Amino acid sequence: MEGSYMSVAKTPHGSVVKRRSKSQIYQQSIRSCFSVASRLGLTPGQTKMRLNTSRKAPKSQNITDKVNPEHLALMIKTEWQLSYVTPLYQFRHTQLKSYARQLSAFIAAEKQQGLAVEVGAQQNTFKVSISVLEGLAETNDDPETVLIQVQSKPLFARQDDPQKTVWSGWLSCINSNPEYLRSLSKDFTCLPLFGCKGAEGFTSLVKDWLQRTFDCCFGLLEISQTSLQWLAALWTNCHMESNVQSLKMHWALPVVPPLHVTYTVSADDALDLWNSVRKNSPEKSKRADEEECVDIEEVTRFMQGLMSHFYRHFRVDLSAGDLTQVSTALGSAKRSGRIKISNSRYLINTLSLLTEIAFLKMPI
Amino acid sequence: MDDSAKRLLQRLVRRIPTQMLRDTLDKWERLTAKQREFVDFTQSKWTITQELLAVCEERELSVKHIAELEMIYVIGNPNQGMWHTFQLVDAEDDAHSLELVQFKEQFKSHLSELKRNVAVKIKKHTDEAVWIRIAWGDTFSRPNHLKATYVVHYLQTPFVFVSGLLSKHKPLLLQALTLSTRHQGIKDANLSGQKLTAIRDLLMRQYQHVFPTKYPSPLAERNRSVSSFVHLDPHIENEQAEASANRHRMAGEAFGNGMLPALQSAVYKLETKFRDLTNETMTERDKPLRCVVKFSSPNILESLRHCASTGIASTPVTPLLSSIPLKGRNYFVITDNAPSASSQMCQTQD
Repeated sequence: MEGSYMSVAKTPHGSVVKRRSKSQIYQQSIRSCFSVASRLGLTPGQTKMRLNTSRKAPKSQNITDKVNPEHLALMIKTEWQLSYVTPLYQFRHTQLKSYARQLSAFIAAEKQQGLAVEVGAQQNTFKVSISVLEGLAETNDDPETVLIQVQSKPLFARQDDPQKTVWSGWLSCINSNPEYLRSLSKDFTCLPLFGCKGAEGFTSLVKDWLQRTFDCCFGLLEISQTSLQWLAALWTNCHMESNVQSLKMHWALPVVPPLHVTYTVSADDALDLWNSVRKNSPEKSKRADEEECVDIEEVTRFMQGLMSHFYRHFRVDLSAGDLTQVSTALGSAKRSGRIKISNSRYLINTLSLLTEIAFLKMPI
Repeated sequence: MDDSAKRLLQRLVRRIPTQMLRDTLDKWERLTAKQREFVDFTQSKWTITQELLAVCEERELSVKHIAELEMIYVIGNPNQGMWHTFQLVDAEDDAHSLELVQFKEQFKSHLSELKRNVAVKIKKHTDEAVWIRIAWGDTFSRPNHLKATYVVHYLQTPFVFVSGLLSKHKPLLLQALTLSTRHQGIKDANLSGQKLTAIRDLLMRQYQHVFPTKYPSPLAERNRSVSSFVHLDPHIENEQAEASANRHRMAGEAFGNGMLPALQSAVYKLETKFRDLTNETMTERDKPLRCVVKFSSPNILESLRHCASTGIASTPVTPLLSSIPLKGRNYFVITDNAPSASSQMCQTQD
């Protein structure tokens, strides 16, 4: 919890001390060579290596005039499993209908190949529709979000039977990193955030097709402890504008059998704690926008406050375990990469944070 | 067989796994051996249901008999659903000499007085537990056997375990219990869980409990009482050995050694003020910080004991956590004034 400090070795021999300080200098020079990235063990790359240490507090945005309400209804109040995607090669927003046909054919072919003949099973045909989810882009560089849906049509259904969506997914990029985008060649489209829900079989088929067609790579997007803490603090901050009801945190302690702790704090009290942390924060400079800017130190102190209140009662150190889930009335986020956004007013803000996390996780 | 009997039987066959169904039917003893052989348990559940329905029709069994079958199943598999505990208070003089027959009569008559059309079945199990099954009806409808309440009471103890009780029936049941056991009141014991055996064991202390002693082991054996990675060379001393041994000992004192009852959750409702020297603003706040903490695990007592012995929980273990086995409860409301929880009293009127 405290900052790092150097231990002073007290040895009587002057020569030993000299040798030690030389090695420290050596280490410092290595560090400056490779920049911060080396500490994280990552090779330097084009993307930002570290999650923002400060960001703007999200403000409620009414986006119902920017985005089609039907599209909004699809995105919110649903739990999505997130992955990161490397940039797509030669992806054109104008070719979506053709892509949809290709994907339908791919799914049909794969299903026929892999499926044993089942007696009495319903034979379904699957139709894919790919469309643009307009209005979510924040900057001019952001490519538009793309929505993919797989609908099933039973073989003997009538014409006017409603089609059931069995799988949906989307590719998005909100508030992208402009340096990174500029470093890409013109043929690449960067949509690093992928969310999906539905049967695992379809997920792997769609990912497979995207990988083959656009030469990209998928990976599981886990939401780190720090990011979960950011969400806890930012969502609590939103309580000033929209009722968050309560801040619920799930912790997992590494004992046998594993112990789960659900710590739910009433939103009013959490907000008071958050405001007290911000008020006492010494990092604040007298800037005009100081209200809007949130620092990682404040987030850490907020979490420490909650954990110390817990410790005072139970004498159990929550930091010995892992924060696995954070949820409020605005949504929920799990360490495994599952996200649910319950309020459309904060959709763009949350997606923007997730896009940043996706950029960080991408290997190139 | 009337409709309600048929529906209950269908429901039971769906609910009970096939292997257990066969054993339960054997215990039921309402079907002849030949009839039991007639039912083919390798078939689908639907087929089994049809065969059982046919066989029960032959024997002209009624819903009361099917209810018996359900009771046998529940008694044999009590770790399902949600059980809540109540504690009888203020025993009258003749409470101790209460006998089963007396209790049965009194309970049935009190309950029927309070509510018409209740079907009550009472059975004494081998381990001194009295099991009661209640199907509730009212003046205009027959007892609903599909949503029966189960009550388990150990005579001579003040504890009652209840499952499947609707809130509208709660005051009636509690009153009948209080009167028939010769007590003056009954209160919520703040202990609930899915596993009846676990909460029963916890409450009635049917597990190994260690009392704190000043000299836990003879001095000569001190090294051996420490965990297994102690070096055999007496000149090498494990630095953390003593601290680790202390933690293990205190963990055992707080929660018990050996097997612990498999309690699965504990809930604390905290309404205490925030106090932290590094955050003055919040500490000066008058209002309490309201939060709810829930611990859950396949066996929270073992998890907490492990927390204490590994140092995740600082020892000595806080009374908040050690109250779970000590007081036999898993729901607590903590306020600044009263460190021990408040409980709800429910007095019956005579």
